[in-house]
Amino acid sequence: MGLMRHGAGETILRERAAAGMRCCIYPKKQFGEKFAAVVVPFGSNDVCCQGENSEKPIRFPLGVAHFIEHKLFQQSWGDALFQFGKQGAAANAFTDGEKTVYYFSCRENFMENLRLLLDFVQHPCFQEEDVEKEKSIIRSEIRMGKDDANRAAYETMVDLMYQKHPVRFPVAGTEESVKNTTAEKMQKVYDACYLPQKFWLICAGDVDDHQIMEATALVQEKESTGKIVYCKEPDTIQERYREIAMGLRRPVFQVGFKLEPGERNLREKLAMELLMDLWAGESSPFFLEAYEKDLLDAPLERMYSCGNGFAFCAFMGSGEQAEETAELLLTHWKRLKQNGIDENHFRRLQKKAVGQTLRLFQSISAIGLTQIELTPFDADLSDLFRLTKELHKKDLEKLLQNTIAQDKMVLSVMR
Amino acid sequence: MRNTTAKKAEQCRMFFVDGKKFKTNALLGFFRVPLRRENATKLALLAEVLQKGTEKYPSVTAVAAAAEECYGALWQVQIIKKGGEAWLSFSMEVSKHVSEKEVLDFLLQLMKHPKRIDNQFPAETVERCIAILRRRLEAQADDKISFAAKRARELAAEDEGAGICADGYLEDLEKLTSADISGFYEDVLAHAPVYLYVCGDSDGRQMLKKWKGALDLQGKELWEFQQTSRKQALCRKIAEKANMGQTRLVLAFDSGLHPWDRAFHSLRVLCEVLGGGNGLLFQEIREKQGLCYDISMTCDTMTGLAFVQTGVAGKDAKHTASEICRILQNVADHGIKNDDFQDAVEQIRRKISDISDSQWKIMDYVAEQEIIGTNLDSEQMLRRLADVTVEDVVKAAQKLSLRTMYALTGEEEFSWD
Repeated sequence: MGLMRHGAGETILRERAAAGMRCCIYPKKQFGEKFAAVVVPFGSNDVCCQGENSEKPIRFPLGVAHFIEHKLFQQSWGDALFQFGKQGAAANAFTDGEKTVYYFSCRENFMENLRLLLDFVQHPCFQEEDVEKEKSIIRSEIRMGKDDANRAAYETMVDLMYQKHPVRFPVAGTEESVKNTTAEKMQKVYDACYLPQKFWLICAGDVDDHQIMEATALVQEKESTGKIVYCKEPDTIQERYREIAMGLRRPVFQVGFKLEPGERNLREKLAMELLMDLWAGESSPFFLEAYEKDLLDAPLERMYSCGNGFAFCAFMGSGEQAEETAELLLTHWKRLKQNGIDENHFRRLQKKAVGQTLRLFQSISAIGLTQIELTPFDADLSDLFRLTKELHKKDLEKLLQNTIAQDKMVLSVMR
Repeated sequence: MRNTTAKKAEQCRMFFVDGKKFKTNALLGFFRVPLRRENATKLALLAEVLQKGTEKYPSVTAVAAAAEECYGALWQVQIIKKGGEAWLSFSMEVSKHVSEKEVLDFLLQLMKHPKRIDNQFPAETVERCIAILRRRLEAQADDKISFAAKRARELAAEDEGAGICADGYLEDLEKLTSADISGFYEDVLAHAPVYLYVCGDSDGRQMLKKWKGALDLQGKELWEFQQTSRKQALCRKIAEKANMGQTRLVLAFDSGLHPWDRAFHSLRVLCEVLGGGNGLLFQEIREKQGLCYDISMTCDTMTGLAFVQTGVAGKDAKHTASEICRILQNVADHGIKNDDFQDAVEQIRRKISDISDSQWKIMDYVAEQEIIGTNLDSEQMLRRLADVTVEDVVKAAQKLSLRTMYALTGEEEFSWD
């Protein structure tokens, strides 16, 4: 076995399969649920590929990563999703900007299900007729998303922030891009972007790591035919404010701050998240003032997101006075910058973050889903736990000086 | 409280659940309240007020900071609707590093020592909470999927407790005062049966005893809970308008079963056969006909009602509804394949077994079993499931009667006729 890591009283096994795939195994003997996921580092932001021998990059249809996710379960021998069901597993998949994830959870037949997972992700069977039929389902998914005010607010916010980077496009693409997707295009994209040597395999539960590693022999390395490229994103935002009428009784809004994209750094991400909690969390002076002024009924939800060529933080909430709330947020940022970070507040929120991380270890699916989010950082939950404990006020103070800028703030409001 | 019968019984009951394998202690305490139109809004408002400050933690941020000190304990005061009753529930999930004293102190602040002046909640707090609740009720339809599901549920159980909206009613809200809510809180403390649960290490038993002792409940005439039988009714077709692109469709069926009936397990299997992840509805309505992205069928463990939910284009809504009924009728007339039956049983088996891996699922399960009165542990539940046959499932399908067809739609011209 490869590297054995420890954190929060748990053991984590890290290994590379023969094909180069990274494996991360969380043995949890006392739990009946077993979980496995294959993470493909190819998502909806990956829309432009520079071929090995071509001068001009090839553009993929928007939403193609999501379309592939829908159709990859369809195999030459039948539907892998139904087969998982027959083997007692509940399987599913999702796509986000940076990755596509196929996973299952079961109590029995773990190894059969794992072999099925590792097999079907390597054997696409895109048939024109199936792809055509799937278009109405994806169209229905897109329309369902359009009725979701929070999703619409998020998509508007990233569109306001970004001028070129594909993070501004919806994960599922548009009805138009879905219409233009073909089985042939999907196959080409799959060939270029589904490289098993870049996959991650994540397993958690009462599982046998030796058997798992044996099963990974099923995974075959593939030659890369190109690399994903991103266009240069200007520093400035596209537009500051947009309001969309959705017939809501209570408007929802998202305040976003475009940040300088840098190298991926988990410690910095954790520091930023803690700083956002300190700035606008449920015990913050900002929330108290917003609550007392009747701007907010509940704390804003917070999100920090970074990836290839983009980084931003966002605050989501509901209320009639989105502009005033955003202004108050900025005022409190300035106050924080001026007055510095209160040591007690920092310690309390660090304690909270440690508690939250610890809690992740008591649910098999929480372990699996959190590990999926850690793959771009080449990290695991022991890193998360250790770095959270090691965070220092200075980490936050550094970010306080050079991250948030008023001219990089956007506001999307759904009414 | 009016219209409730009183009886003499132990007001507070305690349940310990072994949670050694978890890293947190989970605590759940709830007051059982019969759900009536006249108390629903008071109850919703009370839950809101109780979160806003305590004697020791007088503001919303002070309460939040206290939970953060406990390694970011998760806590909630909320109304949980269970069939025709509502639970005023207090819950906390907290790292085992946190001392018993700190945990109980925090929970008791919320339950026993909310901020009050002369035994009444501060008027400004109540006013603010009325405003919060008003805005929430006004905005209910903004979340189309959950609103459609909730409306269909209420319509299908109209004239029963289960048909009462536990979030409250706008028209009842404005007339409520601090005195009403404070008095109602005293009523709850005095008359509601209380259930306390701890899922944690073995010292959780001690914690339970101390929790109960500190609550110091002096219940006199406890509220009683009676099951009402559902009246037969013709299917109602209802369409409500909202600003939306898709139409949310919810079909509510009465199974004629009670959660304590052995046959209830057949209904669960039927719902999985039809509306599980790989169910017949998914195969036919989504995969074959491409009418929707999501479709599911579930049964309510407290009422015996079953619901099919989906989102479709407005023009396809009536066709989809009739297809759902056709597929169901097909099961009633021609039965199901043994393979589909076995797959469904396996999926339910997995779901029942999964309960043991989550503290909240365990406590919710144990509490529901206690309230229903069946008191089956998961092993017994699995045995009952194993007794279900294909014929039982077909019988359950034959007994289903369509009670409500509900559409939430953006189509101006939409009509069921």
